[in-house]
Amino acid sequence: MRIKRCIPVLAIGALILAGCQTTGQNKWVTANPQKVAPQSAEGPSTLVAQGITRDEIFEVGRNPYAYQNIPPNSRPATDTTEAGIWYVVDKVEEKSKTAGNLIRDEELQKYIDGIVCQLAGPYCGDVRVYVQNIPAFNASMAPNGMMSVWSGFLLRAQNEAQLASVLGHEIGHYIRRHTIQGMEDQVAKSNFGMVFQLAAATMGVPVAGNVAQLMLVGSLFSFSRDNEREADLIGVSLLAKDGYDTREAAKIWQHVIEETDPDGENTGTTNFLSTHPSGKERQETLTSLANELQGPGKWGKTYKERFDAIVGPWKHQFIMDEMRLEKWDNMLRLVKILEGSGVAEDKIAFYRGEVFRRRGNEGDADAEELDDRQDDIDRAFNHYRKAADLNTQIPEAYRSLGLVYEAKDMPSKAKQAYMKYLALMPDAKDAKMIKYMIDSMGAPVS
Amino acid sequence: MRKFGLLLSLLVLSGCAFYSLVPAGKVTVDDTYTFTTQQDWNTNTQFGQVNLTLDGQGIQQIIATDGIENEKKAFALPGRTLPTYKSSMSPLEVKDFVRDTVAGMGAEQIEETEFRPADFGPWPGFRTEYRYFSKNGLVRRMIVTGTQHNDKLYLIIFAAPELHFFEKHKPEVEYILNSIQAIAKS
Repeated sequence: MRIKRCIPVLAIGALILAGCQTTGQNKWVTANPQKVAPQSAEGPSTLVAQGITRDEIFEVGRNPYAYQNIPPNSRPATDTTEAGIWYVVDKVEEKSKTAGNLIRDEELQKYIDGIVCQLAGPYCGDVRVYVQNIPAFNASMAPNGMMSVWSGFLLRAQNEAQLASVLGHEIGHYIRRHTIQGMEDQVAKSNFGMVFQLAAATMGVPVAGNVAQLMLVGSLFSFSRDNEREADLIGVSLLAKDGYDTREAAKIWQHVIEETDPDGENTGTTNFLSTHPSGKERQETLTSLANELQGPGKWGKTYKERFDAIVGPWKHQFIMDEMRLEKWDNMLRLVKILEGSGVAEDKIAFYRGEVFRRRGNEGDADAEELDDRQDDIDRAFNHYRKAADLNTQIPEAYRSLGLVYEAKDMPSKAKQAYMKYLALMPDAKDAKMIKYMIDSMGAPVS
Repeated sequence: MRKFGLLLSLLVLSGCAFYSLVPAGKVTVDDTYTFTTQQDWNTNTQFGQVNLTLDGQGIQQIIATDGIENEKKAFALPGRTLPTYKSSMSPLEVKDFVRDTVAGMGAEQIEETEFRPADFGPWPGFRTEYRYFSKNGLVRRMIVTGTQHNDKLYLIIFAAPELHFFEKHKPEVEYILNSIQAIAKS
C-alpha cells in the first residue's frame, strides 16, 4: 500500500527531474568560465584549404528540428527541460568517475582526450571521455558531454582515423543536442515510462558504472535514425577538418557489420546496429560524404602508427576479454577482420587457437558434441602449431600448446611447450604451477 | 500473514539468505571435508555451499563451494556468462575457469598475483590470488584455493576490500585453509 502511494510521488519527481515541463527554450549559462577552448587546430585541413571556416564546419548539419547547437562552454539554464536531463546524467557521471571498469591509464586517456579535443574544437572543454573496460563494440554520448568509450570499440578500431570517426560522431550528438530531440519525441509519444525508469534507476541504483546502467542510459538516449545520419555527417566533417582520411569512417562500420551481421539481417546484436541506419545505407552515405569532403588525390591520413603505439599494446588484453563472452562465431569473424587489418600472422594463429580450444571446452557431453569438441581441439592444435612454427614470441601460445598436447596425451611434447613458455616468461604468475606440472609429468623431453 | 508471505517472497527474489552466528570450531562442507575457524562467524549453508562473513558480504566473505560437478558452473547466476567446469581440466584450465568465474561474478580488471600448487587438506590442489576492482571502483583482493577430487572441483574463496579488511582477516583465513581435513567415508 505504501509502495502504491509512493509511485505517483516518484513519478512526479522523476518527471520534474527529467524536465518534462514546457520546453522549446534555448537558454544557456556559462559552464566553466575558467576553461578556455583551443582556438585553432593543428595539421592540414582539406576543408580549411577549400576556404571553409571552422564555424561553417560546425554548421554543416541540416537543422530539421529547428534546434540550435549547444553553445560551447555552457550548460542549460536551470528552468529548462535540458537542465533536468543534465541533472540526472550528472549523477550517472559521478558514478562513472570511480567505476570499477574505468581504465585508469594516463597515456591512453591522454591520447583519446587529445583526439576528442582536437575534433571538438570550441567544445573541447565540454566533452569528458571515460574509457571503460567493456568487451563489446560501443561508444556513447550523454547530453551533458559525458562520452563513454568501450574497450571493445578500441579493439575494433584499426587506426586513428577510424577511432576519430566514431568520436566525431558522438561529438555530433552532443553539439546538435540529439538527446533533447529524442526526449521530446518520447514525451510527444507519451512514453513517460522510459523517462521515469531512467530517473528512478539513476537515483536509486547502488551499483556504479555497471553495464546494465549504461545500457539503460543508452536506451533512453538512443537517437533517431535522422539524428544518427546527422551525427555521421558531423563526424565525417570533423575528420576532414583535422586531415584524417574520411574513407575510414565507412570502413569501421563495414567491419562491425561483417562481424555481427554477416547475413545482412541487422538483428540488432549490437547497440549501434539496433538504432543506427542500415549498414549498406550508412556505408554509402559515409563514402559519398568522404568523396565530397576530400576525394581522390586529397585523402587525409589514417595515423595508424601513433594509434598502434598507444592502443596496440592493449589489444591483446581486449581480445582475451572478448573471449569470455563465449560468442565463438563472432570471435572467429573478428579474428578474420583483424587478420585483414595487418595483425601479425602468429598472433592471428594464437587467437584462432584460443577460440577453438575454449569452444572445445564447453557444451554438453553427448557423443556428437564430444566429436565436435575433439575437432575443435585438433583445430586449436593446428593453429598453435602454426604460431610456434612462426616462432611466435607470445608466451601464452606455448602454454596453450602444452595444454593441447596434454589433451592429446603427448606429455613429452607438452613438457617441451611449457618449458618454452617459462623461457619466454620466467616471472609468469603461474610459473610455480607450470614447474610443478613439468615435474609431475616425468616424461623426458624429446 | 499475507505481509509475511510478501516479505519472504521479496527476500527469496532478492537472494537474501539467513545467516546465523556460529561459534568457532569445525565447519563441514558437502560431507567431504571440514575446516576450523578460530572465531565466531555469521554462517549460512545453501545447497551444500557454506558462506561466512563477520560484518556483511561486502566487507569480508568466505565461500566454500560444494563440489562443482562436471559440466556445471560454479554458481547459478542468471544473466551472467560463467564458464563451465570440466572434470578433465588440467590445473591451468582450472585457473582460467576460476578467473573467468570471478570475472563473470562482476570483478573488474582482475590482476592475478600468483597461481601455485598448494595442498587442500590431504589433496593436492592450487592457490591463486587476485587484486581487482568492484563495480563501484573499490579495490578488493581475493584468495582462491581449490582441489579436484572425485571429479568435482572444491573451492574456498576469501574476498575483502584491500584497504584494512584483507590483511586484517588474512591470518584467520590462513588458519582455516591449513585446517582442512577430509571426512573419512565409512
